[in-house]
Amino acid sequence: MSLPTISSIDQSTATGAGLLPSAPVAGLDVLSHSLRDADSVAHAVVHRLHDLGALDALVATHVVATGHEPHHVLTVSATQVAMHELQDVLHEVGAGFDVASILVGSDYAGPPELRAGLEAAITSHVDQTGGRVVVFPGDHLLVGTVDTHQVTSQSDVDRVVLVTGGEVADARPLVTRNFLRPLWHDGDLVLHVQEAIGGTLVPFETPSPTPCCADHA
Amino acid sequence: MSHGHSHGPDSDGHTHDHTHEVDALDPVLDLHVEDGALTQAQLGRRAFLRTAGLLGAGAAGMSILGTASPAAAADTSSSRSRIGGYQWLAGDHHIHTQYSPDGQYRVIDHVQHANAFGLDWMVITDHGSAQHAKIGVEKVNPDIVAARDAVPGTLVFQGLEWNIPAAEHGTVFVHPGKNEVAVLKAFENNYDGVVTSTTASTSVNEAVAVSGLQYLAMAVANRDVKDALMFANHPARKGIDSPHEIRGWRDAEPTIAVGFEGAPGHQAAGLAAPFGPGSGRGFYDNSPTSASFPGYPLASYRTYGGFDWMTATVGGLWDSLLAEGKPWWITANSDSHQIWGDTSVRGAGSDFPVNGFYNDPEHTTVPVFGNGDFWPGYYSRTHVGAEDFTYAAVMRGLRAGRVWVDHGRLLSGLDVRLRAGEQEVPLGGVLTARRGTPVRLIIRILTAQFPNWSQALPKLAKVDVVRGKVTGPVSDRDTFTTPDTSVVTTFDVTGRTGVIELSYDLGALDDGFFVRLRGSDGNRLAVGLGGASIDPAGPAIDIVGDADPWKDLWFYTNPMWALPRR
Repeated sequence: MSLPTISSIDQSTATGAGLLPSAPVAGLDVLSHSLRDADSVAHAVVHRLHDLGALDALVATHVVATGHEPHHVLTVSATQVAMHELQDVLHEVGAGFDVASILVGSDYAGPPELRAGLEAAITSHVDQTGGRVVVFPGDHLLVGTVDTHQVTSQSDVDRVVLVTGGEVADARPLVTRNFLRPLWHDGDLVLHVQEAIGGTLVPFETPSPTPCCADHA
Repeated sequence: MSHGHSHGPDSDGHTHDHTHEVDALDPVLDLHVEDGALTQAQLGRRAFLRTAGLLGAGAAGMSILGTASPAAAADTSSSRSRIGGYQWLAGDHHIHTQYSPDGQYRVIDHVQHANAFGLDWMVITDHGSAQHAKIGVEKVNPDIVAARDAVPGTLVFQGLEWNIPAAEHGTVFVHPGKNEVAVLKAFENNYDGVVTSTTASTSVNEAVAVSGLQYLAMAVANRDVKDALMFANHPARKGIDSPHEIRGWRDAEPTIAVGFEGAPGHQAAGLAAPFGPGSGRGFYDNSPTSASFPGYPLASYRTYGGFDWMTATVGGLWDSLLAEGKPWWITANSDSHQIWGDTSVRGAGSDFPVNGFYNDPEHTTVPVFGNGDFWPGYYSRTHVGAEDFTYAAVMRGLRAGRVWVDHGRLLSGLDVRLRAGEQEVPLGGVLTARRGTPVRLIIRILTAQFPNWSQALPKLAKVDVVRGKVTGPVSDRDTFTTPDTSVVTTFDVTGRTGVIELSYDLGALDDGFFVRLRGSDGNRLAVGLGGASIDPAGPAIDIVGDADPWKDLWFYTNPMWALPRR
């Protein structure tokens, strides 16, 4: 497998610290079964990348239903680290789990049945056709309440869209809750939002959704 | 059944358990019972009958529309009069007690509140779990039996909230009887997703869910219990009830798996902080996970006018089930765990994991506004057209789909018929006639006669008629839309009170269609998700952290079908 690269960056919208076309995309699968678990793995990866000086990392989660019951895998891209450094980071994070599969370039480590899922996730990341983005360039500027124009001007997010449909064109206050999980859709990074109290908007995804009672058992 | 009970069938209905098959004269109809002695719900029913001229000896067996329905005509031995041939009994099939890990109240706390707030029937549904299977399912039973004796005006079923393998939660409940606990316990031990570690969304676990329904059907066939039903709860909350799973339950055991919650409970959850949880209405605040059906849009994870997306979307998932020409009914329930603004707390010294219950609640002076639920009957009601005031009749009515639901006591009474020539069917009915026969929809509404429990008199503003083409079985079992389904007319009833009579000409019978009603107080309306040509003024998506449920009231009916005679 040849090294996937991001080739379709629209330079007019990928502002902020946007990705360079040569950013490699790697994948990590530790069989995360909840978004919260996947996010915590994503943050572990990003912290290590930051330590290496890579401040432009982008990490996304993807649902994979092959090789194992449906679960979340991670894809990671960063321009400011060498590929072997990225690979080391993923191995370091993956070492904390019973099962970890890692795909960097054509270099795969892990159970064979998990490889196809990672490959598909990396393709979605490269093509920006699917994936839920946990960490992205510019997200550190979007804390507290911001206006929706800032979201598109200061970060990699391309569009802000209401969950019931329709673009948010006007500048409207967005209470970020310091938790943004935009989704890739047809090459765009889209932040879905919803009407909230006092004429504000909030991101569709809630940082701490009401837990399911069954989990108490 | 698997527990070795060998009791004979209770074929004559005179069971020797601790339940009451109440056959006494309905107090609503017994004019020796003064108005002051009736509950609010009973007063509402009596008012409807009075307004319609149906109260009194001469009215026995007469339907409100002046044509005797077969059921009413057959019941000449009874002195009851009815609304459209049935008693409409308000209920709630989704209630948690101190035997749930996230519950708090005694059974009797719920039952006496439910009775005071006007419920005629209710189902106790504690969560399936290791503790519940071992302890709660048995220990709750004497509490339920005692409540049946203490509060004879409300029928109390025992059920449980099933962790459906590979899917969401569902209500499972049985007719009272000597095996009610044994059947529920065996069901829980063998088919609950948490107890059997089958919650993951896999096809193997999906099959376990179907086996559970088959077990219930067998328990009824063997007469271990007189009846059993399953409703899926908060179906769109987490996107994990896929369309093919819902169709799978329905088609595997259509007499057991009969519907889902059209509106979830937790209706106080959207009240603004600090005097409310400030969450999503219904606690619908989730987003897709790896367990979710990938085809569902993000919009499906939220409520619309307090209703679940599957039901609130015209031409959506529910309508796609109805378009197959198969029954699937909606309900509205409290999912009551902990009550908004209540000042009681869980009993001190509780150890749920060990004991399987919380100690009895204790009084404090601090209202808890983070609680998101209402008492049963306080806000959500499922109205069932029953032949009489018995457990069996409630279950039959639910299975038949003679059901409409409302929030905030929006209506005091409702009678809906589909008529073609001499034939007429009530809610849930299927009318068959020759192609070309004119079909008419006839609606009688009694507007709210009393303030609701927010102390406001609800005002009905409009009634929508939804009509959909019957397209037959779907080829893709994951279908969740259906064509040729839309709001075909809207009646503006603003300012009208008392009995509102409406009639709508559905034209000459074609290849077959279904029709259902929906209505609202008109406070919050928006173009539906399918666009203005399908639903120009439907329920609006609920505002996060600012959804006052009392200012956004809806009623929904179950459907009726008109099909050409073959």
